[in-house]
Amino acid sequence: MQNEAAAQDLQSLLPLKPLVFQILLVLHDGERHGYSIVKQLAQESSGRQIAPGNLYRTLRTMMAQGLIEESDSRPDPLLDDERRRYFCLTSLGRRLASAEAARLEDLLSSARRRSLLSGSGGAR
Amino acid sequence: MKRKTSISEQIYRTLLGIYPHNFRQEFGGDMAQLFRDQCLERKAGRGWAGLARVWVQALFDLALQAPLEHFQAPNGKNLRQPKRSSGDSMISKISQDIRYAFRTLARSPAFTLVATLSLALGIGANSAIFSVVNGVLLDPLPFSEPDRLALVFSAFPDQDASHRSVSPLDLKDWKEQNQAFESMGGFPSVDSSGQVLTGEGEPQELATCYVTEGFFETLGVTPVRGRFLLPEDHVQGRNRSVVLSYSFWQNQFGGDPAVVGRSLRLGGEPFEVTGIMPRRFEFPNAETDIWVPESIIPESGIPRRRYIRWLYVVARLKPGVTFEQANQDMLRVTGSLARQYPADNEGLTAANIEPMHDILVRNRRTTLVVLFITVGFVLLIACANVANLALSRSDKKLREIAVRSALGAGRRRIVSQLLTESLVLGVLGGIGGLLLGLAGVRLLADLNPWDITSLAEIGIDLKVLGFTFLISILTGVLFGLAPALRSAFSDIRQALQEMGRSAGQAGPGLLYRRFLVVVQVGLVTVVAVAAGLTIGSYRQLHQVDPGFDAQDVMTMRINAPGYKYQGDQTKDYYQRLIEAVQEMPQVEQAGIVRPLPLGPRTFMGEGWSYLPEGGQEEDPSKLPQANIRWVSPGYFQAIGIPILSGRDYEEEEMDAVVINQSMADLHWPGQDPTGRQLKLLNQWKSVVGVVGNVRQMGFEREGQPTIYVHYQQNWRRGMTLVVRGSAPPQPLLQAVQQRIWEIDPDQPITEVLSMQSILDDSFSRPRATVLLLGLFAALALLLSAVGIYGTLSYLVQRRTHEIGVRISLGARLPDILKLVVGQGMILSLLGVALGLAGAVAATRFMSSLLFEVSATEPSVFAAVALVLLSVAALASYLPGRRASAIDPIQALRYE
Repeated sequence: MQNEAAAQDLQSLLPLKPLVFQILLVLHDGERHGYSIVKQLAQESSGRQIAPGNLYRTLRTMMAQGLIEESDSRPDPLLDDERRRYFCLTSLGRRLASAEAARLEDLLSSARRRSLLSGSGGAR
Repeated sequence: MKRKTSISEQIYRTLLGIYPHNFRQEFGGDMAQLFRDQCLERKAGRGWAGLARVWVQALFDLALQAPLEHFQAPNGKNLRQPKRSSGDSMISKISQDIRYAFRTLARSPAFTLVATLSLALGIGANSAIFSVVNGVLLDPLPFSEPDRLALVFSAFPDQDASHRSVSPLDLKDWKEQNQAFESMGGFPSVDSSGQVLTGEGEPQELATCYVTEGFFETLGVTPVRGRFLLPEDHVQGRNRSVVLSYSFWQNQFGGDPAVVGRSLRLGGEPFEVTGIMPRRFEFPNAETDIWVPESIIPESGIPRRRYIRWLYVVARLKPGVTFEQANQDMLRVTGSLARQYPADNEGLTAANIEPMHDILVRNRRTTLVVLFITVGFVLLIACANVANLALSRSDKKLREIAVRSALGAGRRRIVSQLLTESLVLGVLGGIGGLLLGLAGVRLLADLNPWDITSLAEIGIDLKVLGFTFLISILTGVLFGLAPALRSAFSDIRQALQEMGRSAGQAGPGLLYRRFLVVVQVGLVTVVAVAAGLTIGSYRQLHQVDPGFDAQDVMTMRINAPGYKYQGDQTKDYYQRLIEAVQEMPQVEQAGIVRPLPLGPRTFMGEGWSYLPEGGQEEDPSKLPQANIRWVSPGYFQAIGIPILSGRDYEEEEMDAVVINQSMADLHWPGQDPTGRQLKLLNQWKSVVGVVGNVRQMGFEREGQPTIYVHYQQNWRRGMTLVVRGSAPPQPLLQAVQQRIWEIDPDQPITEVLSMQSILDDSFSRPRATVLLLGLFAALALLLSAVGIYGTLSYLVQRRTHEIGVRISLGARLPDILKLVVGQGMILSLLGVALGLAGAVAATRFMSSLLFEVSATEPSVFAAVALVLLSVAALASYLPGRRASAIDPIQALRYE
């Protein structure tokens, strides 16, 4: 019962804005602070850097919807000694990421059947 | 390195202030931290360019996100992609274009910064000058319905005199007999002594304006407190009323509203303060402290005779009456009065009616218009530069545009996107320009070069904002349209091929650029010629011999107050004063004069009729007029006016006169006039000396006949003491003041100025014009040089292949230079030639600003051409040198 209601909630948030989905993906591997998120995103999408305002507004909205939460704040050993705020996925966030991935998979399998993408299935 | 970014970070933190408070509290620190991280990373990787990129991105981010944060709530809707339905509306297209424009501009931070800066400079200069033009020329005067206001003068058509004063008796009759004006009022045309205020600290002489009935009603101003003078305030016996000016009220009484109704001691008598004038009311000038009824001046001060004319008249037309009709009506009135009073008014057969607005702005109009046009040119030059830059950019984007066009973006869409980008750039430049313009206006207000007393109030109002916005948009369209159209309509494939080939032929891009350079150089030439002419004019102004020697001369106004000294007592006081000051060891020579040449209250002198020896006696209306100035013996020596023949006055000489060179030339040309006779005030006097002409007002030495009358021959107040001393000015001044106060400790001493500073001040208006025009010309020159440099760099780049070939075939630096610099010089020569031709046509209408310099002064034109061509040569030389350093092997490979 709760699961159904939760699933209903999740669907209402799809399709996700690309930036939101990408943040969910990046945080999937573990918690990160703001700068680390930006760098990882840049790596995964051809060098485009997200600006602070854009990033933190999105993070804030995601927090408000319970998709991510703050973990503790501590310095990053690779950077300087300043304390940085770390973010991590909630279970809701994980489920949402899965839901969006599933939605995209559906779209892509349609494309694969039509030989637009190389991958499992479909003749060359 | 770290220090620099922390300044960056500080600025960024401050800018974060535009976010809502809660958001800032929560995430401000993180955002600043992220910003700093990005700065460090980019700076390490790409140096200043990287830092600039981060900043540009951050600024756009701020501009976009902060308002969104104010209006959007953090609910789930914002996490999902927006529905398609709004995708195709006009608004969404426009907002899409704007966002796209921001993104592309953010990706080329160098271009964006340079373009924005150029535009901001051009737009800023325009904003500032427009503010002043708006405040001075366009804004209404602080009177109600100012277009019905006029100044009315007595005119003597037979004598070619059109701006004479009016007597109170004539004014009264004019008021009663005319049918064109609904009201009239008079104020003094001569320098009148001010009332001395006592009982409020040190005695002060206040700048006083003696007005007739109807003065305030005619002007139609509402006092900020109390009321202005009503007809009953002018009645003898009940006329001790005074109206204060806003500035005097602020300075003396700190703006205390309780002043209204209070009693002030003026001239030893109690006056009631009836009202306070509003801040912008500065009539007849900004120095006026108080207005009082003219009826308080006793008969002995100014006899009320019909032929003693000492008022200027303001008048308000009846609704629906034109100036032409008023002219006709006054012809009737003055004609009738001339018949009625033949002795007094013979020849006064017309009244000269001038609209008020014309008089007040006349002098400044030409200057401001010239400046306005000049900054317009500067903006055009800046636009040409930005167009150049935009062209280069559009070349780079050709590929991207090709792709988008292939993907189905219609031509119109591409054009609109590119145009939006230019408009966004224009608006950004406009914002920068507005800030610069504000700063510029502040600066102008501090310098206040044109005596625009309300300059401090001129600021950015709605009209200026609108103007700035308008020219930002126009600018954007201007420089953006051509590249946008070119990008969208040229055959993409052909253009790409052409670029790859670097054929070096005059493709449309190169032709357009060349056109831009010629236009730029042409505009600069005109601006430079205008600046050069004003500089030449200014130099001429300084060449004018003022006719006196300003070095080591102090002046101060000593107005013997009327309530203390009556009639002959005034003469005695001044005599004692002069003797006392003359005795002082530090004083070489002392004297008094009224009016002081070029001084703050200067005027040409009282106008009296006289009769030279041998002239015809019996026709009073045909008598010549001379300027009368009051002096003491020794004045000429004190101020350094040369005595050309004869001698100065001696003490107590009652039947002698000293005349100036102009009068001597007029009546006794080529002869020595000493010993000749002159009838003045119905008494024959002997000419004992001739002195040189001086600059009394304005820049030229007077050409009018002047009689310097010994002050003992009548009595006057309001004399200026002139002291030539060997001591340094400050101690000398104090010693003299001390001496004066020994004679009368209550004597106000005002307007203490050295003659040198008075002389310097007389140049302040043209000086300001020269400075501003020079600044704009320099700016224009710089922008043009950049334009030439840019175009030639582009040319070199396009022809790299060809240049490589030439070098490999043996061409050396001089040959390559000939190629590149030759191109540059041809364009510049064309531009200069066109500009000079344009200047010949354009500068003729600024000839009223020029002094002894023709609007087509050849030396200026030649100098400008020389300077411009030299600068153009330099700007061409640099790319030329680079071209000669091209490695031919690389060049031959360059595609």
